Amino acid sequence: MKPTFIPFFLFAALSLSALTLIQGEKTYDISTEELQNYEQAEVETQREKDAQTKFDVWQGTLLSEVLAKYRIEDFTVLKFTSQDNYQVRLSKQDISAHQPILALQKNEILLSENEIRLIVPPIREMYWIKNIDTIEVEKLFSLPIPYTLLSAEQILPLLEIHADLPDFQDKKSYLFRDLLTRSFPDPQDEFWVVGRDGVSHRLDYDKYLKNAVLVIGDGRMDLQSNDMPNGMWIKNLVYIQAFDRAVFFRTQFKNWQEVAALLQWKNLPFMRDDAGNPISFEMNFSDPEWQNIRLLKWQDR
Amino acid sequence: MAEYQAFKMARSIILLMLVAILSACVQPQILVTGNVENICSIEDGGNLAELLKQHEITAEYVLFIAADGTAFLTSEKSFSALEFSKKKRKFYSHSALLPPVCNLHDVREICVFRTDYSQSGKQNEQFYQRLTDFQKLGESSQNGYSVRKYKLREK
Repeated sequence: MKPTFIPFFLFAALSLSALTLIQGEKTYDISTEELQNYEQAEVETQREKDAQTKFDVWQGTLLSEVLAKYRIEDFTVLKFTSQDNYQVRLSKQDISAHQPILALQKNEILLSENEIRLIVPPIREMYWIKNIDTIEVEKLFSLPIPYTLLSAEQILPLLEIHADLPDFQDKKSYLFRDLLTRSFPDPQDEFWVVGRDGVSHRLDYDKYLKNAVLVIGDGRMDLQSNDMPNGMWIKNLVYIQAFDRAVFFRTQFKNWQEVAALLQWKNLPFMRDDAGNPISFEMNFSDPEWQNIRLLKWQDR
Repeated sequence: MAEYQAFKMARSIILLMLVAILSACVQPQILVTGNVENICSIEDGGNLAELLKQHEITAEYVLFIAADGTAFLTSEKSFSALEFSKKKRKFYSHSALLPPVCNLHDVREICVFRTDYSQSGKQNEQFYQRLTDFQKLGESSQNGYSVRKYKLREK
């Protein structure tokens, strides 16, 4: 990454508010012109797209410079939301380690206001959100280790399968809210949803999930909603958590080690089933005993 | 005329005394609502886990509601660390282990959530209906116990 200079005239016409920085009650409208007034940085990226390797050079403002100007220091994550509701979160550690930029130029071509893009080279491209509308400062409460884990395989047979939903007519699906209301004390919560490939989002029920469906595929469920841009859909949903309660899709894992690796649990769970019987964390998920386990409680050792 | 006034005053005093005596006789209680077959009440202080056991109430989560509209939600893990005390005819919740938001004055109701209730074919409507009266304020955690704070929505 090296400092560069972008001629001022390139941006002279662009003085409208490009994005809004939100910190609690305070909001700061930041124009493209303001963004170009910071010292500019350059990053080179390499990514695979359409079976080809793409090399790009991006120029723009270091996000850390913007945060420093507005004295934003006390936060856990930043939530980026685009005009079309695409949403990503970056932790303070990610920002500090990877020095993302708000790219204003790509390969020396000026990006239009709705193409201004967050570039975080070491993090996968789906996090490179463009057309950023807001950057919200969050002191996000990290989710506790789930005290109760429910097996999705025990709940799904209780739910109605729909084949006639207006936007999903050619697909068999469950209403996601049916799963939530069977499982969580507050179904209108913010949920952490995780796919088997590790893609995860924390999604607000009202904004993203109230019309979501679980599309039944070949041995897997995909979380889709017209309230979410397609890029946020979760392929092969395997885990849902809110507060200290979670639903996990047992059949997508071999054992607890796989669950712990995906969710970055430091310890393997020591659990009891709803009848109070201890469940060995070494038990393979294909063990027939799992057929009768509806609910697990994480016990302190 | 003066006798009549004195009679009226005496009657008022007697009535006031009766109300005071009656209200002193009525035990304070905590209503148990939510996903329960029948609404019941808890009239004694003590450890929450034990009180629920005594009253044969199964709960996975409990929303504690105070008279001033403040409330908190916590899971079964916390029940044994929560105590109810009765002072001056009011219930107080407190815990040495849980976050301070659990110290509620004048607890009037506990609303119970449990999923085996919904497994039996009934939805969790009673709990959800009550929860929609409240607005989530935040979450806190202490000693491995997590709690959510709520307040009654303004109507």
